[in-house]
Amino acid sequence: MRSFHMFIRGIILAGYALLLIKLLLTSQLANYVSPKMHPFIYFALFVLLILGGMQIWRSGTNTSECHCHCDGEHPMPKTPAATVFIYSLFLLPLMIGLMLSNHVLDSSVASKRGVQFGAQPLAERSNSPIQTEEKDLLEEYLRDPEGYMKKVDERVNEILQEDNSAVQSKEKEKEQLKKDLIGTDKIVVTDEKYISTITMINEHLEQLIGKKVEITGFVFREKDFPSNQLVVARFGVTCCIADASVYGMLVKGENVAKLKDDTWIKVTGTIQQTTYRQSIIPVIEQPVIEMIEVPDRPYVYEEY
Amino acid sequence: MENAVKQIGKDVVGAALFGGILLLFLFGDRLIDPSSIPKEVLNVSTLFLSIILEAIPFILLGVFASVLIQTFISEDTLKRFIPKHPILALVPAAIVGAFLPICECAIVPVVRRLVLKGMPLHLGIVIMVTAPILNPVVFASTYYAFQTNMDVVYARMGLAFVASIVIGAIIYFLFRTSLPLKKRHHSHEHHHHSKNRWLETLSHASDEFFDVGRYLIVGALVASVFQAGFDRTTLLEIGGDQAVAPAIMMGLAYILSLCSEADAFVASSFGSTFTIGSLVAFLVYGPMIDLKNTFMLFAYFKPKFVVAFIFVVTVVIYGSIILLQLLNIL
Repeated sequence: MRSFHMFIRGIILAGYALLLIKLLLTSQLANYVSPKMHPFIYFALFVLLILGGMQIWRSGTNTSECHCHCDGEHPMPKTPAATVFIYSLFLLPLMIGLMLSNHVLDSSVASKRGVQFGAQPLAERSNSPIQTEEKDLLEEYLRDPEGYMKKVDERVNEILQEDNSAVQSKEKEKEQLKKDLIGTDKIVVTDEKYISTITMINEHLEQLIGKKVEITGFVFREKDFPSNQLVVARFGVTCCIADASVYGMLVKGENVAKLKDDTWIKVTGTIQQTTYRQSIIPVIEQPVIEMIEVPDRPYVYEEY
Repeated sequence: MENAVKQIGKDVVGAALFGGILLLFLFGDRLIDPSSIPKEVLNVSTLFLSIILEAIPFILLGVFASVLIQTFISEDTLKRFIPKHPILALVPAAIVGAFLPICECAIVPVVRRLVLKGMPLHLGIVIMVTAPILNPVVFASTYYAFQTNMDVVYARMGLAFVASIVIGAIIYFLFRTSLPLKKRHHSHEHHHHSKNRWLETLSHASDEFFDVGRYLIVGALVASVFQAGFDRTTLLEIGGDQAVAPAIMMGLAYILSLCSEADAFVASSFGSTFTIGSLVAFLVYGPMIDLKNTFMLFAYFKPKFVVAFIFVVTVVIYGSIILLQLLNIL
């Protein structure tokens, strides 16, 4: 009986390996998992092949004497119904992956997550943080001057450590991007810098008003939009698409009313500002709309 | 004779399964017209598969770490490293958790193995709740998501450390030295023939993958239904309330079951409307316990323990957030 389970498990493991191979070959893996995490997927593929191969091979040999005392810890399903149920569970993701890997999350998911017009500023705090902090520090120093100085040293070291090269180069990149945006007449929002560009346009809106902008994405509308408004949006992914947030820019124009949700478009227009839900956000006006095919990489990825 | 027939029957089942998978591998995407399937089903299955694919490498890592501990660390060695005093040992346990670069999927099998090997339960729990938060990758992603507000980053790390010790202490007083693990375990060491040792290790790894995998799959399925169906925009209006917001965000962290590496970006998308305290609650509570992990815990621990654990974590995190808000720290 045990060798039968080994055989089936070996086949399922091999099946998962095949699924990963297929997603890699068709470059659809990025539709599920961010490219940053792909090395882990390669690792998993390697392990699944070894485990699967070993299980299939060992199920064919006589293994009864090796399993002297291990069975108690990993009990096998007892009834045929339990067996079928448990292995069906493992087959479910396999079948979804092998049959439905073309699907891209659509605007119905986007509308439940809410769109972000750039990374959000944080809500105001009720108290004044700096003052309380200073008061606390003073009290602490009066109580225990030596301990306090030691703490300060630790804190300085901490800050020095954080201030490492990765963070610095990130800051430089941001400065560079800001310069690029202010220096150019036409901002092209690329897939690689989608989130940072949108965030930057939002942060430095006043300096960018009147510039041309080009951006691609799918059509999405919030419930409270009038007919001449839509968002051209993308899902921004950190690790896997379950953690995706929606990033996009508002588009205003009479020619957008007839566009259906989830249509992929390339929008070229002029950056202006508007007020939406009590905050000032960028809007693309006088849009020129071009319908496009779903891109090979429909998602964009966090850039840290 | 009867055995031979049975054997042939099983070979046929296996071969059919393999043939079916191969067929899907080659032609799977041409068998069904996706437009004939409701969008909601497609969205749920896509999210479901992405959670599974993301988790598999880390489950495998956790399973391997677990079988390596099983094979190479003896119970005596482990005992020598653990301080005798149950309460004083909490702090070193939290530090160990901080040094283990393991996230929430991988840590469950590792902790279960450590507990089987004789580590006191409450110390294992401390490691389980600190490891997914106090690690460099999570620090980096939280930093990038909250660059404008470092308070969130420090509060997340600091609260995780302190709360884990409190949680460990409460678990100790509730369960003492009892072992609420689900399956009976053997106190004796395995004595395998040396030539089989590596094969046995691999075999254990495979068995453990299937043990925990079925719970992961159910957890991921439920989480993906919430992911696709739950309208987060309805939450935005209640984000400013000091008492309600943290509870809402903890509930959200629980059902979304995000990886601790990625949750900071989702939290920051709530940043403009939700209180800082509630964002920290989201960032600390989610990695400690969520829907996906609840199912994985059910694979190893007795239901009574899982329920008690969730209750303790919930009360401690919510309580500390409220306290920090009252003290004007958050």
